[in-house]
Amino acid sequence: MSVGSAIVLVIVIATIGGAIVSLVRSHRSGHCSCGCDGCCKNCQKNVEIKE
Amino acid sequence: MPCTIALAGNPNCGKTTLFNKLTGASQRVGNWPGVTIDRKTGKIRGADGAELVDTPGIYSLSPYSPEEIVTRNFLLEGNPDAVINIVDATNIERNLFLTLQILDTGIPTVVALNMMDTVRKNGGSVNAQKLSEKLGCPVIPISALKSEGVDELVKAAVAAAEGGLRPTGLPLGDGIERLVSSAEETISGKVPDEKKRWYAVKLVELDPTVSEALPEAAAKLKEECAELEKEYDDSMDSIVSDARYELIGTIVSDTVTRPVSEEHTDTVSDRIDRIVTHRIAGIPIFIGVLGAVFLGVIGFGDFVGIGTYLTDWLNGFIENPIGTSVEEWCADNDVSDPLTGLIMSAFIGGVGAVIGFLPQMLVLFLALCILEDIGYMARAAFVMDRVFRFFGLSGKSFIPVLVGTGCGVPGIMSTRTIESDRDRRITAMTVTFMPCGAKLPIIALIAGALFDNNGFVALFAYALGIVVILMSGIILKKWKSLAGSPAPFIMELPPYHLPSILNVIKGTLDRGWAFVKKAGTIILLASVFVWFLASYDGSFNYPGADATTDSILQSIGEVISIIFQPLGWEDHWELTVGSITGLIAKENLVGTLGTLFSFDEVSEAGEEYWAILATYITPAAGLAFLTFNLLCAPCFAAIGAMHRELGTWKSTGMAVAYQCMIAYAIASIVYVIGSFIDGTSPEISGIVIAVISVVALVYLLVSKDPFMTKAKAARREAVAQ
Repeated sequence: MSVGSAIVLVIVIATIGGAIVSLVRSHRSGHCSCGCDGCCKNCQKNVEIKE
Repeated sequence: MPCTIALAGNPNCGKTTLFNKLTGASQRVGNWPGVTIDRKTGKIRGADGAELVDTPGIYSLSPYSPEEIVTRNFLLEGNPDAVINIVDATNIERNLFLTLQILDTGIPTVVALNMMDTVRKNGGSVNAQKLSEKLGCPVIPISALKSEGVDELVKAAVAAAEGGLRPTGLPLGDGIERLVSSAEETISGKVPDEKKRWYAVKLVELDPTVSEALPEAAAKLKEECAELEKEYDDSMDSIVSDARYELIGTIVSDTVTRPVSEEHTDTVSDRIDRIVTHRIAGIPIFIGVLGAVFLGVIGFGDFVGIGTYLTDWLNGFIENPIGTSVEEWCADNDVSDPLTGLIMSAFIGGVGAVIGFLPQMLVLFLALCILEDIGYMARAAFVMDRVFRFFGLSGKSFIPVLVGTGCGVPGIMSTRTIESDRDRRITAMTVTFMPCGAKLPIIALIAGALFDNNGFVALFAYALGIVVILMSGIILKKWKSLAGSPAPFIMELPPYHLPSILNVIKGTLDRGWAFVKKAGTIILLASVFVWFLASYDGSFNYPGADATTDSILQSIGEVISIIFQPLGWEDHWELTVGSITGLIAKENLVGTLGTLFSFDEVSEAGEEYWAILATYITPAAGLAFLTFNLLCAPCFAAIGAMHRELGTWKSTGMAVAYQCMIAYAIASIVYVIGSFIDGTSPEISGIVIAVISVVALVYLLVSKDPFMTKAKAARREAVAQ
């Protein structure tokens, strides 16, 4: 594997990993059902806002 | 001491503005009643752990719609330590009606007289000290918008919560009070002592919920109430309401000084409303306003709208230098073909295609947020009530439709503001026919690729949404579970005001950020998945960047694409696959096509993506493609929201099936009519399906409503007897 391929592979894995983690966190926090964490924040039950 | 303070008041009196000020939160604030549809909790800043709960607006503690029940239940069963009852000082009589009921609950109460700056500006005043003495609870004048009096309010609320000084309620006249005392004796020990008066008054009002909970007391009181009803020749709830308003009249005359001008001249809002809510001119004005917004944002003919101009620029920038630089870097650094393909197709082709539409969406969101903030959208609901009612829907259905133009999920959830169960279910099933923010890139794609960026494509999309919602109002009420007449529509029109820059920018950026975040998460993952299916064959071999032939995706797409050939999509399986991936998120359709097309045209400029589409299908087929994707099943998140509102998967499944069938039928009609106008020959199968669709739709629209006919017959029989 070339150095270029290795760099791209790391970027791809990090990006995809980041996207999955973000989706899982959104889902677990219950803030959003569609993944965007913003569009439906007005319709959530008991949105907890930390100071 | 940690305590819980509830925030309660009439709709659109500034509860959420105050909630945001006190907690530092950024909940959405809107200039129409019913923005908040569920309760929200936050910590009050600098108040030693005191918790504030924002509740949906209510006019009284006898709720009619589900979101009003949320408030009543929280006040009565959530055991808050105190209530901040926010009162719109510019409309004090109506607001005090709820105040009197809250005082009956025995919860320590602080009245926040909001919008006092407007009262003073108009030359009026309210004697807070005297009002406090009359009500028997602290009254603090504030302006939530300008943060005036907010600190004092927090101190008073925390003191009330800690002190636990419970109000005793105000007497409503001898006749009623006799009944209340009798009811209190009967229910003693059955309800909490501090709430005894509230339950007693509700029993006297013959409130069905409380009567059901305390049947013995209700039965005992019924005879005593009947005497009073006979004496007043009115129902008990009206007698109690009249007594409350009489009491409010006395309180207000002693404490409020009205502006001299108030009773003699119309306000600016009244004068504007006389034009924009005019029974004949109102609807053309509404269409004109929306048309002007779309033309300004998207453009028409040679005129390029602001949004289109910025989107063209960003698309070009993504393609070159970003796309070309990345591709060159990959070639120079010997990056393997699959990884280059993944970066170019899924990341730049897929996510880039969606992000490219961001400027257009931001400009459109900005325009819609301004219309919303100045108060015009509430008028639009009022104007549309007459149209909606004609088609068997309530004007209240227009608010969820309006919210749904941003995102279908909150649109569906805001159907909770509709009191009638039947109206609510029909609205939840049809709200996603309206183009949401995620569908805008699809509209822009078709307008750009096939209609020379014509703004009328967007107007067509929104008009189509409204027409199909109205048609569905007629069709769906012929189903047994959805039969009945629409509920009456009563909505308070908020006064017009200049748009708050902060509110508008926040609303726009919130929606824009949601779009970007979605592109970076769910659309990125879907694009990678689509790229994988489009790049590898059944044996998981990678045949090269230019080969989509024999890919897994093509095999699947070709089978399903047969269904869409009558709509003029020919054998272009990419369009079918795009429509399917649109179920994950609607913008995904654009990203998927970007991923699929870039296999053939990696080095081409952004506009050539549109050029490829233009060679694939005719403008009529393009319009049918747009129609189908606008009307068919929404994304999974919206289907989930629909399930929450409809209650069962069976109802949800039927709603989704209805949406897909009507999308297919109307798309076939659009394709055939469009082809004839365009001078091209539609597919024979398309003509056959369009004719069947027209016949079916006409039958469903004009055939007699069996349940309405039965109801009329029953009424005639009753009259005859």
